[in-house]
Amino acid sequence: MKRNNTSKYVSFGLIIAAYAIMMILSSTGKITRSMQGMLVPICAYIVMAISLNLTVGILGELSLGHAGFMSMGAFTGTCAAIIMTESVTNTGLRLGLSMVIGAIFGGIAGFLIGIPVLRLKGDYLAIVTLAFGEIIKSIFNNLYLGFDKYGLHLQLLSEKGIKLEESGRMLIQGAMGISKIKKISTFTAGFILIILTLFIVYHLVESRYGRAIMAIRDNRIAAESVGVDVTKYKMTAFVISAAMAGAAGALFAQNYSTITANKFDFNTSILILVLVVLGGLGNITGSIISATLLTILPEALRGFATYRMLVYAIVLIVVMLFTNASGTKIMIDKIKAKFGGNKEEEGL
Amino acid sequence: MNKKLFSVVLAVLMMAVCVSGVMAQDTIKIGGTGPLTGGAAIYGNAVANAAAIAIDEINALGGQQYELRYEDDAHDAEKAVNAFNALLDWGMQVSMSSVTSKPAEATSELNMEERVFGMTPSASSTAVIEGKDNVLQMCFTDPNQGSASAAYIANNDLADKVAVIWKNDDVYSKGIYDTFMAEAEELGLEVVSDTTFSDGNDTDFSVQIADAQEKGAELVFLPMYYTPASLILAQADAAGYDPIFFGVDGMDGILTMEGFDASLAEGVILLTPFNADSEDEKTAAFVAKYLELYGEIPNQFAADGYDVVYALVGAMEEAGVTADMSAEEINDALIETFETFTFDGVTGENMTWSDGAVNKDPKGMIIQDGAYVGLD
Amino acid sequence: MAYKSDGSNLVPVPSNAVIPERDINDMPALECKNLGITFGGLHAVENFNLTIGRTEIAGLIGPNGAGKTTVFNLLTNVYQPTTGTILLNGMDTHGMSTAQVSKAGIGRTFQNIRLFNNLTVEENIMVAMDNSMKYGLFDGLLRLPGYFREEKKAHEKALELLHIFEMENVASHQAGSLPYGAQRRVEIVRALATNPKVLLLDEPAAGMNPSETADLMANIRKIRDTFQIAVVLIEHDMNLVMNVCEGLCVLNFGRIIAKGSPAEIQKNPTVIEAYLGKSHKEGEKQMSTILKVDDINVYYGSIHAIKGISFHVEEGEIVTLIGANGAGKSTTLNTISGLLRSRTGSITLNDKPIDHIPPHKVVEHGLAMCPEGRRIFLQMTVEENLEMGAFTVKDINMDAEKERVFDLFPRLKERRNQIGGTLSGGEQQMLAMGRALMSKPHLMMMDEPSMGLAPILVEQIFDIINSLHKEGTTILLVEQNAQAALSIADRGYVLETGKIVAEGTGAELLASPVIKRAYLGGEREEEPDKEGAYYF
Repeated sequence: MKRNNTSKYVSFGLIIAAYAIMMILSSTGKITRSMQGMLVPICAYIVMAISLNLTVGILGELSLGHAGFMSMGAFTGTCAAIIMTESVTNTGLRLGLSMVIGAIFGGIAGFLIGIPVLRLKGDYLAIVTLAFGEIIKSIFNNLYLGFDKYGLHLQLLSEKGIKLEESGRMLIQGAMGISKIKKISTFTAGFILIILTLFIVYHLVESRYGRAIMAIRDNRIAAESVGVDVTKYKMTAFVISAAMAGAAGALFAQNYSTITANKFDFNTSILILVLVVLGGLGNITGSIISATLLTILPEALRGFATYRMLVYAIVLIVVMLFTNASGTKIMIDKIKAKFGGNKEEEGL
Repeated sequence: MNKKLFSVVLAVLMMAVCVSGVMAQDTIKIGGTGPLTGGAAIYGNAVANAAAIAIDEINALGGQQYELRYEDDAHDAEKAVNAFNALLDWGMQVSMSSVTSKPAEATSELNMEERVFGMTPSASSTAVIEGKDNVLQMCFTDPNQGSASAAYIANNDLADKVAVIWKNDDVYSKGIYDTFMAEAEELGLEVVSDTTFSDGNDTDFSVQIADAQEKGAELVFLPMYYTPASLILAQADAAGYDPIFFGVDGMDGILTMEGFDASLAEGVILLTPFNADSEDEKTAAFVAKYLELYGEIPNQFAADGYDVVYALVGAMEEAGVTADMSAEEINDALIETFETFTFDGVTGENMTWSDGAVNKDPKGMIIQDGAYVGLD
Repeated sequence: MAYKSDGSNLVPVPSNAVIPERDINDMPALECKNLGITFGGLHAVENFNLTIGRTEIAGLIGPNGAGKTTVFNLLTNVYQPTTGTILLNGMDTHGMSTAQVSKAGIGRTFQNIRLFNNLTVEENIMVAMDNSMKYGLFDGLLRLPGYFREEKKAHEKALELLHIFEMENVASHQAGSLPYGAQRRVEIVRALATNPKVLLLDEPAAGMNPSETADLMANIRKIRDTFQIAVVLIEHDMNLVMNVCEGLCVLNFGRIIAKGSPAEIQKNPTVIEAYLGKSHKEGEKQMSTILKVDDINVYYGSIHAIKGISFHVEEGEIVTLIGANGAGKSTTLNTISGLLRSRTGSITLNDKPIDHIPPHKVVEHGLAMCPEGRRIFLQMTVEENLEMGAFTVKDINMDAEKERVFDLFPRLKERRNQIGGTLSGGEQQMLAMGRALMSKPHLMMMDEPSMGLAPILVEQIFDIINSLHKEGTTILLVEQNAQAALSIADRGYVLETGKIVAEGTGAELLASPVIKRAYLGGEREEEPDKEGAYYF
């Protein structure tokens, strides 16, 4: 119960401070367009990183298909928002509802995928999640969904069979994804989503559910031996993680006027995993920082022109080496010792 | 703590992003985004290179000076929006939108919102121009390419039985396919084989080729970019199948592709408005210059990029745009000018624009002796 | 067998092997009938019949590899038995998952401690209470009143349980950072938190010093009395077994060879033959310094682990380093073998400095290390393991060396083609020693060779050390088992929190009060934060 509250407050403090600073800068016009444009994606990536950290760092299972859940939330949430355009005129409320719907569908996808996947362990689980991520991508690439006053019309592979009323419109057009999305995502909405995510994760970790989940991570056999139902708790963590990714997807998609399934491919899954690993497994504050910095970094490197992705990769390698070097670790130990030596790992 | 150090290093970089510097200027700033890296880099670089040539030529004349900046979007909508915002920070007054369709769909939205006039060289999706009063296309829209291809095949009696291989997770390919099929039906072309591929399974086309061969297709329509097309050509050759291959503007560039045996492309027909072999003086000069600077024959993307710069500059001169005008003022002036503006460029003559789409004639081209030759 | 259930198919046991009849007037807590399991044709356990009374403390003993832990795994359904039935309070546990067995009333600890290392001690215990906590996911996420009520209850109960071992003060410590003995105790508390009717303890005293073991004995009785539950324990420490257990069951090669009271078992000739051994002898000596360690200081991060240690080993000697867990013994050995670096001082082997060369080069200089925990190559055969030992040494007759090792360890010769991982603990230790000997070392360092071994094997190991000594091998021995080590050593050094606090001949040290203070317990208290001495 007394578990490392400092780190929790640091996370909340960081987010609130960053939000306040950005709002002030933005209201006084001191912020660049670049930065302004990245605020929503940064929020979405932070939520993605926290959400994947729940699976990888806290549950201890490697998932390589997390972008699939983001995709699920992006498509369902955005479709819902388009359908609600007229019935819910308040954009903030509509965005909120679409994120809830994204989260629900993300969670459902997590549950369905979890049934076969959570029977597996370690590497096998990672490979299967990867495959599921690709399956979700392929489904959306071949899904055609139209909407008119008679309801939804769904078809796979081709839109030929979909006959819409005059007032109806196509929502998802296969590989072309969703076009003409109303850009209703805002930084404030992203901020609220992060705060909610943090509440959920920290409250989960400090409850009996979180304890059981971490116990499974630390020693599955021992967890079973004290009566922990491994499948149930793994599923709980996995579904919550997928639902958060779904909400982040809905936020992300509605920051752009167009979204395609190919955006949420294997590369995106790996990018999110990089955010988590760089921030530290199980370290929520770390995830927040690394998601922010790694989203900004490629933009900050635009000065390197075509070499920027190379420089980006080099910076990434250097940072990984640096944070893992024994010299740094000794230095960190010393500094920790100096500041009262908080014994706990910088987790959570 | 490691996070702290990490953040210090990167915070410095971050400041660079955050601090905007606006300086007095006497040049007009033109910006564009395109894939300068990644799988679609050949298009982005072609456009950026050709645009740079055009800007240099215009500046050399001594009149109003222009400044060009291309930012990388890696063919990704999210990155394109970032790139576009970076250009706004730089002080872009006129935009060349984005090179490829999906990124352009996202950035054209910003053109509209921010009231920055934009003209895309090659983003052919209709969503780029739909509902926007200040975004124009230099290329045909995808649907136009599809219907024009079908019409060309039918009108020139190239074949009766046609096969189509298309990429079903690609906006560009699908857009052309849809209208091609509609027009083919109209004109009585018989599509005997209709096969697809997608990202990830785009290296082995033996099934698709065998299907076309079996059904006796005399012509294979390939609405796709040149990378998969090059494989189809090679694999069809290996299978001993030699129909007419008919491509679209994405096929352009196949001759300069590294590691591709150009002789395989002999006889391929493609519908593209640009003909590098043209006797036309303007075209010859452009091709020579491009060849000199970049060591290759410019493809259609380059030609589109070159034309966009000349069209924008021409219209700005006509509208009397000066460097001290804001992007919005230039935008309003250009919207008005383009209502009546006509343009002669390397990709066509007497071009006009209506609702953002260009009106010009496509040219049929055939590859002969390793070069594009006009069919007319 | 004590539970003379008429009509049941309990195996008829000879009268001298009967667990004394006590407290099983009503239904027994646990009843195994004809339990057995085969692994690929090998009968790991067979025909296992046992009845445990409701508040009985029973011991399961036997040589290493006898199948004791397998029995525990069968009882908790980690393995599904091939034959037989387990009745827990009369209920058949067949087909249940491990978690369900836990809910049904069996709590256990593990031979190799399995704590949730990254959780705090208190959290470890609260995980075990999970099934008795009544709030749902949304109560937890939304922090509804039920959450606070239940968490408070669990928190109080956890502290109450920790009080058994007076460990409330470490409740908020990370479990993985506790000293070994404390971890064992936390594991017991965690098992108790599931509200078991039967508590299975797998080698609870392993790695504990005598004073800790004495406490443990008292606590096992206290647990039984307080909770009125049955306790079954696997243990090699005969002192503990004979004192605390009311009934014993002796296993050998997967079969029960005897049952009865401790007194009966001690007299049982079958057991004595299979299990208990003889005593050991003395060696001789001659002089010329092989190893000289001068004023070394080693740090783990900011922790000063070795504080200016100096000592020497003469040719032909057995020198032992003894001390409590975490005193710095293994650290010293790792520093000599080059795995760790000293910030000061020097280490010379045969007058050549070795403190700045990489570990594999140190081997070439004639130093062999037989590490703690018998780190053998589990996927290789016995022979391949031995060959690895001479891997870096040039000009060696591999076959001759192997024969020499096989002479010393006939058991290894029998199993030369077996995979390392399938050997029993004692055999693995022999293999680790044999492997070290393959390089014909000038100095052989052994780290806790007796750890986790049955007394008969401990004795064998010490016999082997003695015969190596007689052959002329110089040995630096690190041992927990101070008596055994000092009785064969020429000289010894006593380490305490990174410093040498006493030295002398084996006999001198055995008699010295310093040892009793520093090593055999007394004033050693858990203060993990202050010392950092537990991180080795």
